[in-house]
Amino acid sequence: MLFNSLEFLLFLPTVFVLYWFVFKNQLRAQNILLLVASYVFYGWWDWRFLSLIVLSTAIDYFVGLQLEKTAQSSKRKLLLGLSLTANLGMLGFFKYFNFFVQSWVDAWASIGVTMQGTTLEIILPVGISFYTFQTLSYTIDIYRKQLQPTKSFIDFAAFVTFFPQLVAGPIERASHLLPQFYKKRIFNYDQAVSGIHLILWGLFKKVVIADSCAIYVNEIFGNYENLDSLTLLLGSVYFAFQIYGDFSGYSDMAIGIARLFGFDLMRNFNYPYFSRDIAEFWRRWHISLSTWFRDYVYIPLGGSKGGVWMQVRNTFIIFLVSGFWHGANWTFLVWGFLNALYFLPLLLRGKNRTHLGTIQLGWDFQSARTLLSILSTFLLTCLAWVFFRADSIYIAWNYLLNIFSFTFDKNVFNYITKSIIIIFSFFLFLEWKNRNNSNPLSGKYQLIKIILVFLMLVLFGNFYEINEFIYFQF
Amino acid sequence: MFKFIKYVLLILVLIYFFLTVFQFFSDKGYKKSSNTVFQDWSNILEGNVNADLLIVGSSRAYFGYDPIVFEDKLHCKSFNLGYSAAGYDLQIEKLKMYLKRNKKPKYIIQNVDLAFFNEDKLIPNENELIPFLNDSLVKNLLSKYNKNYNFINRIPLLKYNKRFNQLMDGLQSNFDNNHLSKQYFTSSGYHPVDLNFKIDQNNLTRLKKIKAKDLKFEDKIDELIKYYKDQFNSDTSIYFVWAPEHHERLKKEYQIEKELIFDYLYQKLENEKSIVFINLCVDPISFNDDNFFDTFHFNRKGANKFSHKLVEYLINESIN
Repeated sequence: MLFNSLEFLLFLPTVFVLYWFVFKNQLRAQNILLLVASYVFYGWWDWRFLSLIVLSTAIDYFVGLQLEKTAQSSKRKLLLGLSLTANLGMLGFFKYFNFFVQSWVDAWASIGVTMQGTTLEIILPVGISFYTFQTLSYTIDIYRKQLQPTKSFIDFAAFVTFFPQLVAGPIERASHLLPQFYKKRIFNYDQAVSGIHLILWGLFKKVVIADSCAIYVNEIFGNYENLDSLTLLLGSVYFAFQIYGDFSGYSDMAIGIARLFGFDLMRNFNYPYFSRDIAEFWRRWHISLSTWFRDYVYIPLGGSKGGVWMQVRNTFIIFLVSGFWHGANWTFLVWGFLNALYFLPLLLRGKNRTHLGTIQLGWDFQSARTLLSILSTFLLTCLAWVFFRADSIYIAWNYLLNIFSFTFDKNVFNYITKSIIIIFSFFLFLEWKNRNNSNPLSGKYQLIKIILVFLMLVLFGNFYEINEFIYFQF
Repeated sequence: MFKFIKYVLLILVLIYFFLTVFQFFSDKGYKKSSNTVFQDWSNILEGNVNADLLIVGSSRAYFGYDPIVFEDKLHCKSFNLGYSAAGYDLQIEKLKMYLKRNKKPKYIIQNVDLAFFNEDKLIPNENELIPFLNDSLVKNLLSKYNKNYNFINRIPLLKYNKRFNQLMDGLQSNFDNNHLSKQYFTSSGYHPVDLNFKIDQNNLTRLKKIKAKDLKFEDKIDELIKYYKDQFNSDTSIYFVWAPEHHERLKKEYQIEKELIFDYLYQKLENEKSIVFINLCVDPISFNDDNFFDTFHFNRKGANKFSHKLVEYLINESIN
């Protein structure tokens, strides 16, 4: 079920009414309702996928309980191994099996050896990368003795499948989300209102920003061989906004919906395109995944404690793994590698934690420099996004070559319509003005902002062809 | 909780109000934009046309019959109900909509041409109808071709979704209509075109492939005759008119197929008293490029000449 679908428009109020009116003050009943609702929500795509999620839930529930009972180190390692093998095994099979087989065949073919590889007709279960990482964090935290396992299967299953964030995050940590299932939830007006604001803002980002950009992105990337440099650059800028609107829009809606049920989810995006360098960008983009990799991969690898080369190695590992997490295609690996390259100069000069404060702009030289650094960081991310969007490295490379061929014709203006100018101006203005606030529709003039967002939704939103969220495929 | 519900309701009411206001003024702007296709639709739907002579047909009717000429010569109120890019179904659909809200005319000129036999798979010039979507006749027509129209008008302003320029044009039309594109201007439903002739090679190439039997013209002609006979009594005179074709289209390779249609029309109308077929396909007007803007349509000059010619024909016909 998609957040921007008609079914969800009926589903959400139904669950909300049952949750707050029928099962009010009944914690267990509310958790059961959330679990059932989450299974319905997930099973709406394909009920067969439910078996995987139930299996994953059962394994980690069992492993969690056994880990608590076991003090013996080798047995604990075995249990952790069981969880890692089962979860990563399922992820690996469904997401990467065909990729590895094909890459193996291609690698031999490149030296003239013909191999027969059997690929399978595998459908990638929606959100498998997200819930796998979420359940893994539970087991690892218990293994590290940072978390007590839950005794209640219902609570744990509701935590794994919590429908607002099940298919595209934020990837929650058990230590943050799970305890919320134990506590009695009381309806909070401010929390619910901010939830509504976030849902609305997320919907705007998805159906107005992302879907409007998608039209031009598809056209430009589909015809890149015949277009001039500026148009191609514009295509990558549109894709930057498409993926941002799509993914952060989903996250905002997820956080907003969770708030309607009295839950607090972690922030996943913090205006990443206002970053002053790549390190800051990665602190602001897909925060739940970046911090997951930091805590469960980077730090166990030694983090920044070793020498410079160890830091460089770990950085490259993190970015490559992050790229690969996004999809079974070499383009994602190159995208990760490119981001690691961008990051490298900052790391070597020890400047990867320079921009931690808020952005202040005035009418002075320093502000001009800040603005320039924001623009250059944005441009770098746009160029990297080309690999993310293109179907192959060959296409991405040629796309970039064409950008740097410095050709120009008037075609570029065909892709800059009055509507695009209006929606971008509104969007960027609101994001910039609220860059220190996680909820752009809250605060001053909220009623005016809400009315304008609705106007934009109705006038520019894409309602007739429902587009899936890009990150569902990851 | 009730405070929250109140807040949500307040937002919904406010939004509903603002969206309705925008829609209201945009629709109103179109309705009052004089001498435009929008005002024509508005008049049709509000029953303000009530013409004595009605011209029905495709773009050949829309661009080719000047009602003012008919009005001057025949001294009866005339209106062009031509529907650009419409085939049989939509031409008749528009006539039905007209008849539901306006009085029956005394004369109907049904333009017949090859476009008449086209299948209507889409609604052409959909944006002409958008301001009137709240009217049940328009909604029913549009939803036949696109199911989304069944719910679009339940949410105010949604009908202008992805039509931002149209919304702005409508709002501006409350003050004047100079900003509207030339394509929307009409005179009693007729759209004069001030362009010089330019050959439309693509259409001619396409025309070569058209075979009369593929058009299933017999069925459509039978259906048309039946419709007019059922709908009108002897108080209404009906003329099927084949207007002059450009000389390029009179070349043998295009003409053979048309002859089959003419023969069938003559044969079917042989004993009909209230329906007359006037075939002006080959006419001196055909041989002057100055009368056309492409090989299918008259320009203003051609439309004027042809309208005079037809009106003379009708006068003679009524005397005889």
